Amino acid sequence: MYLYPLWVRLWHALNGILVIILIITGISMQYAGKDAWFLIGFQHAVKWHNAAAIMLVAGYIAFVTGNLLTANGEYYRKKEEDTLKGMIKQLKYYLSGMFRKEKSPFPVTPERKFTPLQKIAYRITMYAAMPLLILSGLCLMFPETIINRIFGPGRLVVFDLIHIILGFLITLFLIIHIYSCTLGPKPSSLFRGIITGFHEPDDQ
Amino acid sequence: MKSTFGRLFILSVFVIQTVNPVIVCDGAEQTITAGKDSVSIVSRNTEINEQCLTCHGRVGPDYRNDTVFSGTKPEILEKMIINRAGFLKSNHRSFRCTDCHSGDFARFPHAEELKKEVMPSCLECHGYDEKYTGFHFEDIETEFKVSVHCKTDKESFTCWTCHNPHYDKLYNPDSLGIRQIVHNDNLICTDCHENKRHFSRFSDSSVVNISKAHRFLPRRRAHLNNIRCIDCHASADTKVPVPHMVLSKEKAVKDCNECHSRNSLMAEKMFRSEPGGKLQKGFYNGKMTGYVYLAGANRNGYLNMVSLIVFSLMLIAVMVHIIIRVVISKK
Repeated sequence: MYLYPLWVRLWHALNGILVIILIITGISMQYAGKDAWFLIGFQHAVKWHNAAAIMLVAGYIAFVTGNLLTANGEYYRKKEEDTLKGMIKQLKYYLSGMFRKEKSPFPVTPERKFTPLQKIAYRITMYAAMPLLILSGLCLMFPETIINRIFGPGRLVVFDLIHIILGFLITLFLIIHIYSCTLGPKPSSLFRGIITGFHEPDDQ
Repeated sequence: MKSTFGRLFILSVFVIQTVNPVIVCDGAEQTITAGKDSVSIVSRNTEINEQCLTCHGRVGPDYRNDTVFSGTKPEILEKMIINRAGFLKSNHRSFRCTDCHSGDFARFPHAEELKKEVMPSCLECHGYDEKYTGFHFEDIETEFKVSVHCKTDKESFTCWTCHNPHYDKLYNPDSLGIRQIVHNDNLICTDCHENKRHFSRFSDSSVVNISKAHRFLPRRRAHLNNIRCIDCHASADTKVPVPHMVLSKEKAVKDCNECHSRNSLMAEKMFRSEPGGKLQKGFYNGKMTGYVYLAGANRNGYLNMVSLIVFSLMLIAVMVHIIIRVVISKK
């Protein structure tokens, strides 16, 4: 089943690398110190973080544009099954159903790429968390121009807290996302799918 | 002044000055008006000092007296002109001019050899006196003697090079505000380091472009505008509230981690925080957060704890899930 167009796979790969760079450099800045030998030095972390952030913004614009102009955007729209009930059903499958060899309540089809739980997670991450993260990051990149002039001096701490809390939540999302990709027909199935574009059937 | 000519001269100048009234005597309190500034001071020496300030308080190099001076030079006049209002707001406002300057200046015209007058240092009045312990004058002298400023090749560097005793004024850091303190302190440095003429008095080297010299800094302007020069260019090993052991440029702070860390040098030097980054108002080095929020130095301790707990719980949940999957797959 061909599920992942080339532009989606390229965006996904680039985004993945950039997010990892941003997390590592972000943590390096947050926990900077002369004794933090295992982190990247503050000066380099700032440069890499800024560079990766700008590329991420470009990638994000490409993602939103691609979803607006192609059929891929359909997968993110709310459908009948995308209810709280559906999410709980999927969660129960992950917590016990899969261990009892039950079938997935929301198997992947050409019409359904995401389960209700995945869809809500991706919608919140890509259409709520990411824009806020990007905006707060831009404000932090130009604090004299944006924060001081528009919001007044002394507001840097607010934007920093927003940025690092969202960064932390996206870090959690990333780890859960990578782990949940091992929950395919085989642990490597979903990884192969995002590289080749073809999803392996769930009943394999 | 013993010379009749001198007295007449001063009187004539004073008469001319009354066209723009300078002194209004109002009982014990005197109001001094100079330009737009009006300062009320109580000092028994004000009238006596006016004898000096009549000439030395003039504004602009328009003073000329062919009888006394053989030509005038702007730099000489600049060094000898005292801003009256500034002096009357300074720490030394109640002093007589001749308390610090030679009493021979009372004679007019002034003797030629007085040009080479050696001024007393701060220590001569303020040193080794319990009253001034809090100012650490002795420690300042010790630090200065090993600083790069003590090793100039040309004109001697003294306290007066940076601190003009005619204008220096004690201030309350809480009322003045950190931003103003940073601005004021940096003006002392840039007065030479961004001024070719002043710099050439002490060194034959050219004045360095400050902005270019700091181009290694990300957000260069933010650093230059919000941090004191001495926070990076003076030793942190000091007992003095304002460090005076200015180091050579090679020894300046260049490692970002020195300030952008829990053990922030900026917190220690500018805000006199304890080393180790104490938690204040939930933030490490919280004293700073009223002025600046510094990545790495001002982490929120509670947020750190919560994030660590949440992250650990998530990792545990994932590990448990993996273990169950492995166990079941082996059955």
